[in-house]
Amino acid sequence: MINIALPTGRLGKSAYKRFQAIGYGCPGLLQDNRRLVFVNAEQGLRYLLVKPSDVAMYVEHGAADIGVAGKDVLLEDRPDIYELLDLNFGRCRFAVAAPRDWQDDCSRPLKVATKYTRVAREYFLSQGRQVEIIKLHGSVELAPLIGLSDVIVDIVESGATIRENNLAIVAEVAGSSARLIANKSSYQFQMELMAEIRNKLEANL
Amino acid sequence: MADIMAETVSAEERLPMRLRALYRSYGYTIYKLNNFEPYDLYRENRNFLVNGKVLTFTDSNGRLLALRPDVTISVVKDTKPEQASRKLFYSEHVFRRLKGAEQFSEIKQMGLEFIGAGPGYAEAEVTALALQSLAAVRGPAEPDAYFLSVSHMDYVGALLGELPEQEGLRERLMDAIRHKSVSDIRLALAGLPIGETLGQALLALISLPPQPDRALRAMARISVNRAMEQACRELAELLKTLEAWGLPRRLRIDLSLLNDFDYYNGLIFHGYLRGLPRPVLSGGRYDKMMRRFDKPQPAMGFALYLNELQPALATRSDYDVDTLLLYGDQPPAEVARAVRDLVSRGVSVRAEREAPQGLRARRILRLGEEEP
Repeated sequence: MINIALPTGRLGKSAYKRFQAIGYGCPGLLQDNRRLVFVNAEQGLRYLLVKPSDVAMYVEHGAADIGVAGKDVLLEDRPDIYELLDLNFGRCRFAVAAPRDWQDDCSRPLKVATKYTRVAREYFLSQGRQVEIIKLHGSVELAPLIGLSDVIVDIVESGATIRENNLAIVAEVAGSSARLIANKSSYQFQMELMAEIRNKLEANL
Repeated sequence: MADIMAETVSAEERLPMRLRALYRSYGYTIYKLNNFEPYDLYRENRNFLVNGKVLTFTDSNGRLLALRPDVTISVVKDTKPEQASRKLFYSEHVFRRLKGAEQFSEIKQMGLEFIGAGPGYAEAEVTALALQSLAAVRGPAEPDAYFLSVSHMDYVGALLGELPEQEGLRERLMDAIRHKSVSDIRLALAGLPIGETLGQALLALISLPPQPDRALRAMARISVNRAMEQACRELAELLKTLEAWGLPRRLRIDLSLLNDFDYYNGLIFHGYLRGLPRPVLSGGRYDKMMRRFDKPQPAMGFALYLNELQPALATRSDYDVDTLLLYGDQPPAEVARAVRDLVSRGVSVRAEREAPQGLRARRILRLGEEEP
């Protein structure tokens, strides 16, 4: 039995369709909105539907053997897992955004509001810029508008939310997309199967 | 006595005994350490520790001491430069802050250190003992329950050495290799003035075939310098020597396994057990660590994390004890005779005046009401 952790929501649906396309389907998974575990006993598959930011935890701790997680989460949480394949969907990027008329004042630490404190801290460290990180859990775009921070570091897809809040992207930090990940121990024991799944998914990209 | 051992000793208690016997049979002697070491010992070697965190306190003389987070550093420190060979094993507690934990944990570790272990037979002996330690966990009933992943620091180091000097590049690549991430390797190499061969070699590094001999051939093909060729020869020698040992083929070459280059060189390995999410054994050659302490010998060792193994060893029993003997107001001598009788029959017994809450006993005997 191989346990596969998929994120709930849009990313998970796209991921599941790719697994289905290579012959790893599981009846009812796309229809049933309440269940979180789906088993295909014939093929020895069990899908676990979990919060997108939790997929890597399930895999790292061995509750799932493989999973699909956004690179954004992997960059922030740094789980000790294998990253077997870039699945090339769910594309987005980390960016620094600021009010349109903003100018950096290098005489004091930059105030950065973000959900992704590690990504933000490491980015500004690499730029040699001193920062004060303000950890928020949502509505990050609001922070610079009301003076809570100078800039934000956030996930950007189309950039519409940024523009609607009168912000502009001032720097790109890192790209992200969905990744096939594996538990390091499970990989040792199910290497052939995982390689087969990986190669089939790659052929279907 | 032998019967009592077999009946009442759990797998968790049996494993350390088996390992001790195994290590002794290869001429290793037990090593006892102090619980405390001067904090400076770890401050200067922070990157050698699993996460760099150390639990400290001040002694009555005002010296800053640490509760030992690691055994190897202490062994290295205590080794005299003129001691050509030391074969030691230990069973000790170390104090570490585990990933994600707020507090320190006391971790039971068993391990082995071979000071003077160079490439050749010595290296193969340590590897063979690591393999046999893993095999001992689940025993002969599950011969395929483990894997030893083997890597060679010099091989990977020599390949990374071919890259142009650029700040952060080496760290980014090491991170990508550890995660077997093709896309991160490509990202790190993008725009660098390097030949195609080097890029291909880095990608081949993380996708070696599972069979050790085929992996070795792939490694030989992508070798671009003498150090890499030398590492291939060492690994080939290791495989050949292990073959002569007649051990089951539960070893894989996996170059995505990387330790800190400041301390480790040559052969390193991780041991995995089916069903456990993290490596349960970790080890390798640490000649560079020896140099940091001005010791000229090569050295190698490994540690088995008994806390990680606990889920694999815990035997869930439906009962805490075979017999709960309730003796009420019976005379102590009567109770003693009854207890002795039961124990001599190989039955575990808990004697209590009244039934304790929550105790799961296979049967309950009331002294005086019924003959045991």
